[in-house]
Amino acid sequence: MSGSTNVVAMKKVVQQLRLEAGINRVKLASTISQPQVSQAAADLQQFCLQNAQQDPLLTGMSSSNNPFRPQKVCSFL
Amino acid sequence: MCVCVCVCVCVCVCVCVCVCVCVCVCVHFYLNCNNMKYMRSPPTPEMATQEVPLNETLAHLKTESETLKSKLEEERAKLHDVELHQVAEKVEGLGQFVMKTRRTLKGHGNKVLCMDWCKDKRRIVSSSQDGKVIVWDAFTTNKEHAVTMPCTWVMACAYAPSGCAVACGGLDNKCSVYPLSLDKNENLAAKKKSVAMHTNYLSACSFTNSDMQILTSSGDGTCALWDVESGQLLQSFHGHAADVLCLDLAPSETGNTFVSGGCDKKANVWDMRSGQCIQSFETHESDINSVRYYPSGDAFASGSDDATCRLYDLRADREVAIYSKDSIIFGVSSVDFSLSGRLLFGGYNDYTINVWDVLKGTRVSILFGHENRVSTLRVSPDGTAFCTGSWDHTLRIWA
Repeated sequence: MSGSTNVVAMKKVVQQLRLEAGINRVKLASTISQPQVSQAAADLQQFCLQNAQQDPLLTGMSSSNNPFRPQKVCSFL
Repeated sequence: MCVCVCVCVCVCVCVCVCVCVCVCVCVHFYLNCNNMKYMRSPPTPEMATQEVPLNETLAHLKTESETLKSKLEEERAKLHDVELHQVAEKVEGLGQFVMKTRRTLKGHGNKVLCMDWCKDKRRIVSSSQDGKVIVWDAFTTNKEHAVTMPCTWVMACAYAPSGCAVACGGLDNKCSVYPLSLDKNENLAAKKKSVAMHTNYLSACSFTNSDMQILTSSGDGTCALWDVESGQLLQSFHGHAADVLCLDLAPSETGNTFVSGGCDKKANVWDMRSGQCIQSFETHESDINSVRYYPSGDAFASGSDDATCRLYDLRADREVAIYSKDSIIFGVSSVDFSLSGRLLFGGYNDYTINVWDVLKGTRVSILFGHENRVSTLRVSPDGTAFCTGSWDHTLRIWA
């Protein structure tokens, strides 16, 4: 009984490893042509800075615009 | 391991005659071993002789895998020139942030496990350990709908893009969709539709771009894509070696991929059409509790029990930043980005929320308020606020 379990389990591990080996081969082949970390990082940074103005949590919305912030109290003159 | 249980049943037919019925039941259990998927499949009659060549194939593949991995590291080390925070040195630092609890949603009877925002930016669905799923209006803190699930520990809930339905599931191993009706008196449980069936608990669920498809992840180590109307399995994703704890869909502009994180410390990126794992990242030192795509879709962040959040870039195919401090020793339960991706919010098991500057890698703010661990955190669709759910039975909206 335990023999068949081992074989089934091992087949699954073999399949998993084959999948991983396939992925790793593709990765290795494409590593040379990959954009460098500095380029990818620069892109992330550019996205952040471009969208910074539209980010309410970043720029801090005023009470009138943000529905969750309490309204300023009106006072009679 | 095989366990044989012998059950002897004695039946007394009449006063003087006893009939003994011996029932021998052999029950097979497949126990979970480390690094093996646990799917309950019936035993196939394999011959013992197949083990030997399989052992050799196994050993051969393992060595090949190891050599490929070390070659990859070598090549990557040659390319690796600079970290994200070094690139971002010239960027202006962020000022002080004033973020406070603006609303507290009380009503759950036990730990809040999951929450999701509706696209209308004001409704929230939350689920809890007591089996209740509640839909709230975050502006007024009113409860709009409440459903009692037949199971406890509802670990996943999601709002449909149309706002007309919610999906939830947990220990019942299923994901069920409840259409929301405007009539408050209507019994929502009657219209429930069971969509997903897994062989272990449901850890996360999410609608795709439409109400028609749901993506689920489960403790059985797989993720799956389902059609809501028919309940049919459209695609399944195998590759994790242990429970899958979280998933996130890529923002719609970038196409049909999603990322999942699991107890095997791996974060995998999948192609939804082919079911293939296209990228895999394994740098965390413990279970990955939460994954979230960067707003541009080119990167994703993960939060783990090893008390760190990490940022992985998909095009550079590597980790580009770690967000950690020596003083933070408790695991991260959930992460989310602000709208521009500059801020990363992390809910921690030490009851706090840490806000990180994504580019510089520094902590910008630490928020207190919850009285137990923060279990879930989502930024609202328009980025004006974020909501946290906690084991202290409440949800808080911060802005």
